[in-house]
Amino acid sequence: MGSRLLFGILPYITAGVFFLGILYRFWVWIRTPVPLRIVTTPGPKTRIGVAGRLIGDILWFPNLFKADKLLWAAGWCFHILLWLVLLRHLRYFLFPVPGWVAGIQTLGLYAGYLIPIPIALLLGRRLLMERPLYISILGDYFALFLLLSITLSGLLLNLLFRTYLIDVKALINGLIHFSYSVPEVHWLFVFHFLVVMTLLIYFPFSKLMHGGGLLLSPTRNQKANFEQRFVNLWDFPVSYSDQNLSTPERYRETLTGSKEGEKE
Amino acid sequence: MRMPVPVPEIRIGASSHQKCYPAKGKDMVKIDLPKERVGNWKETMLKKMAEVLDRYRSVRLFLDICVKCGACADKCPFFLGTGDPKNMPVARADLLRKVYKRYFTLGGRLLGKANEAEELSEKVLEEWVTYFYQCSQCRRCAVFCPYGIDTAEITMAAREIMAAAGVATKYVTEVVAKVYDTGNNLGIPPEAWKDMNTFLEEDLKDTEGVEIRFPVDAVGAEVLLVPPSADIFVNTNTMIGYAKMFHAAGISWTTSTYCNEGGNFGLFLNYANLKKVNNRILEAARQLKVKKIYWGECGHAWRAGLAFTTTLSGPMDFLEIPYPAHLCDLTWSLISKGAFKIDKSANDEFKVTYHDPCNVARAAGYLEPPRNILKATCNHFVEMHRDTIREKTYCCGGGGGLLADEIMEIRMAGGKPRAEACRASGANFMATLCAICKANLPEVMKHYKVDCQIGGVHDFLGRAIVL
Repeated sequence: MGSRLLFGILPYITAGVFFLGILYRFWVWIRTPVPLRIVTTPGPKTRIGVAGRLIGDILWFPNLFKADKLLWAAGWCFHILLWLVLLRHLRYFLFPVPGWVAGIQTLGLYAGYLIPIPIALLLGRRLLMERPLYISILGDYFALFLLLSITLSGLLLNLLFRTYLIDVKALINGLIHFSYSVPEVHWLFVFHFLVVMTLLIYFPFSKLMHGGGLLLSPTRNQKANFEQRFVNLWDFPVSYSDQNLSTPERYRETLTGSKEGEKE
Repeated sequence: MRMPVPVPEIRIGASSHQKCYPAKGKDMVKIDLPKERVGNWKETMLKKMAEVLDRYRSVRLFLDICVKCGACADKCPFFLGTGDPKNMPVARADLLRKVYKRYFTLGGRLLGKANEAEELSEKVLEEWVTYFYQCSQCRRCAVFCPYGIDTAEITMAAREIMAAAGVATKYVTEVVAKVYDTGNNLGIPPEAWKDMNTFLEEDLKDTEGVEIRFPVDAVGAEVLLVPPSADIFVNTNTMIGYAKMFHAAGISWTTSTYCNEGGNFGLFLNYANLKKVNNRILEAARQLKVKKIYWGECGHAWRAGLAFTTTLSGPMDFLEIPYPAHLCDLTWSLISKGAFKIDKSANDEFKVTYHDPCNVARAAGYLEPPRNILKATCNHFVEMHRDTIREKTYCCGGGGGLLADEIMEIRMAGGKPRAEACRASGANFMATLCAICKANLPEVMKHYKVDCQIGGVHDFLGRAIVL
């Protein structure tokens, strides 16, 4: 029963929450209007420029590089290593395994060995440095704790229990084809699998959405083409009350000397 | 070269005593806000917060995606100056974020304090009033945030939410109310404005023997100049620089007694007043039948002018292109065409540096024209440390509605990095393009004992131009 829940039901709930959750978050952000142009310098003038800025932000974290070299190194290394590890895991999902996935297995393996280091650094600075300690909340530690648990258990699985690989592949293949099977796996794999599902469920409702949010961030994705009119969809008219002495009508009177304020 | 100021250790509550005076009822009614804090302030603010979250993607997104990496923490001049942790941009945003989480997110409603969610209370409001008025909306944090999270958007949202329930500061509301009574932030009535212009005409005739006009409300002039009103009152050298430039170029120009102010304190309060103040510029231009509008030396005026005018008050197609245009565009294009005879040695006593006002540099990307003008009009120009200029510039300490005397300590703290960068550059004159900088920086320099004068960019042209 427990294994049915774990391997037959939870994975589908996880996938549903993960994908629908992300779509929901994007939908809320996208439906919220951007009333004013708030692009920061140096702002790109064209759409290609904006694309370049965003791609640069995703690949290199240039603002973080300007801000704090150590934090940049830890953060950037973590993200690159994470991508390599994730790509390596594609071999469990794709049948047959494409050549390029097979090709990066060794690279992904080394990435897996290294990835706990930047995570530990990111955790360490929150615990040891004055300013990060002050601003960190439970959610920050929770995310790092999940990532550390996943990477360490994954590492141990790789080093100690490699024989279960075929079973894992069968399990995921079964899930993809909606045919339920309980694999014979080590408890450490169950742990790894559970924490990954926790992370995926947590993901859409947390700060982990920062990558998606970056693409919609107005200071980064707007054009600095100030000569073009920018329209605010919820703009409203404003008017003067009799509390105000300096109004357009009164100014017209002083300029023309007439009390009518008629149209020119 | 080392960074101008070391990052201080955290001192909890170090600047919690620095609060602006509350708004006066007589000003609030003039700017369409409740006379005083409304009885059901909590409900009113939460309702306004829901509206703001639905209207500004920036606010919702920035509250959602901050990962609290702390890259911004040591970038804020007000944190560097005070050491108060609530002046770290991330922590400042947290003041709004905790209420957002409590009422608008599932995690916050379920987990409460464990997920840093907190109810809107008297204590929280007290923090908002204090720390959202210790942010000058300079946006330096946004330049260093990996997601471009702009604390100015958060600060503006918080101020808008508070204003809806009748909570605002005396200084900001007073200034906006003055605009609707006199046309400018300083409250100079139309007759006095005309007198001051006439005085400058006579003064120039007496001292320099030149007849230069300072036209006011001249219908049919080619150019409407929208200066900060402080240029006629305090920074007269800048005003004289404008007039000499127009005179030498043979361009007919005018100021308007309806809109003798570029500065828009609505930006520090709420959208409705931002729009209402900004509309005055185009209303004046239409009534005076000018062909062009040029913004004078005012920082947030140029942000509103360049980035917001077409949205709030546009279209501007009754004007000649290019628009929106800064006066430095015109001045520099004329200088580069050789339109003026310039004697740089008139400025030889000055070793000049240029302070990028936050809004001019970060919001408008306006970096080169003022530098070009300075280099063309003086012989000794130096830059300050590269991490303190251009888009990385530091606030003068008085922007964003903080130029109130009761928070002098905050103004001095915020100006500290700028003062130290200036000291390191060895300059004896700091030119800048913003009336607020010109008001706060002299105090800052005095406070930190930096021997440096403050003035405008057009001051240099005014002294060097040979008529």
